[in-house]
Amino acid sequence: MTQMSDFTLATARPLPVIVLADVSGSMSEHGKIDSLNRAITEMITSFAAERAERAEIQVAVITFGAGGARIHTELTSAGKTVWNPMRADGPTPLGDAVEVATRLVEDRQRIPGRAYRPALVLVSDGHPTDANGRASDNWKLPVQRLLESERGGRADRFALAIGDDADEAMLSAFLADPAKSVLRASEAGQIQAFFRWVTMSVTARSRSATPNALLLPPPPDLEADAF
Amino acid sequence: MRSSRRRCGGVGTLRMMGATVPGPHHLQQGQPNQDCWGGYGMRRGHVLVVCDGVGSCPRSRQGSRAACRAAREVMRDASDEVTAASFRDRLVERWLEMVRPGIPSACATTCLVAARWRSGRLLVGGIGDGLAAVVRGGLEARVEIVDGGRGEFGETAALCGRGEEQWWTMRDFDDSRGQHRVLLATDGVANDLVLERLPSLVNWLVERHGADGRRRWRSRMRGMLGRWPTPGSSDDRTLAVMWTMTEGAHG
Repeated sequence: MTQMSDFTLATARPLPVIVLADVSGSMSEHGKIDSLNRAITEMITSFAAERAERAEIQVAVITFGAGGARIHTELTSAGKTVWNPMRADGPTPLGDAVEVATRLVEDRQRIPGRAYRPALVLVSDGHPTDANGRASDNWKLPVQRLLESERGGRADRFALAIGDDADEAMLSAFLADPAKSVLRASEAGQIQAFFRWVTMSVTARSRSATPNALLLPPPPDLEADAF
Repeated sequence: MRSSRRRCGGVGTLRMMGATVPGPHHLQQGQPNQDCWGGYGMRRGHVLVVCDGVGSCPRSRQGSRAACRAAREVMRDASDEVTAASFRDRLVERWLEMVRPGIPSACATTCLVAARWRSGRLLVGGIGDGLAAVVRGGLEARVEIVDGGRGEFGETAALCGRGEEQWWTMRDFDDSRGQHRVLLATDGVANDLVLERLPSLVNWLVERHGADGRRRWRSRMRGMLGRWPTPGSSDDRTLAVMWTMTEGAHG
């Protein structure tokens, strides 16, 4: 017998989390890439275990390093995500990664209109370069395009600077929000603390009656979380 | 819930049905439904209207109800030669009169409307998120989605004063043969519908349930909206349909 469920979607509205991960060669030093892999794995596991009915948390990972920017993990429900560890090598083509992210956020097929406000998480340990590894400010226009895009400017954005060489000005431009600040991880272990904070923020939204509202828990004290 | 049966330009009887239920969030909070719908028949024709008070505005419930009344009054006075822009502007003006002396922006509401004159002119559109769909009967069911806004991430265009014309969408149809069926829904329903199945949904509502009496339809529809199958939905839910029941048909 026909019923309303024949005409409705069977899944909750998606809440996309898109990670832009720096996998340049410098990330292979001091265990940074290993820590980032562990942090993202832990985040995906937490999302997959989340039983909130309000939203289906989805995860995509965009990497930028050797070979340019690419989608490392397609946007998928966290419960179905198959994680392949990232490897670090090559330059820091951040601008390309932001362009990939903007295309994804604006893609109405992959992120439908019913989706909740996406979260964009940028993690980097260095200064942006062009595809040949030369220092470049070619990230500025893509970041501007992201912020001016219909959806990108309204996304919930997070930024983590890893180590002293990270370009904090670039990460601040990505955040473009005076109420938020770039967090800095001086040790590899602090990367996981940052991602636990992101996880907490996203799961709080997914449990909320109004998941589009931004719920930002107090940022972690990364120094205290170091190990 | 209201419904209307009126003779409709010689092609049959025009029917309008609708129902609304508060969403789980408002039920938990003990807050009233901010959605509202109305179906009104009058000398010139019929108007169906569905409104969703913007949750962040303190008097949006008042705004959504005022928009339904405004649509009725505009339809009462509008000939079938009124332009879509004039219909829209009159609705905005009438709504402003109704919500004042309050602050209009505190009463913001989406507003989806379908006006059908006895001549067969059908005007469908509105402002804000939700869904206004027109399905044409016959062998080729066609859906025109007249989506009145850019509702995403909890933000939507809304009826809140003058100067919002660019966010309105209005489209004219010739329904002189009574073949068009209109569905209006607030975002609490529209967000979870499979758009490819809209013609089937509209036809199911009309042909399977359209012959029900008013109370039976209300009871069924409230039950369906209350037991919404998509998980996670917390919004108020409102759905209304308008169609012409031709002679001899049961729906």
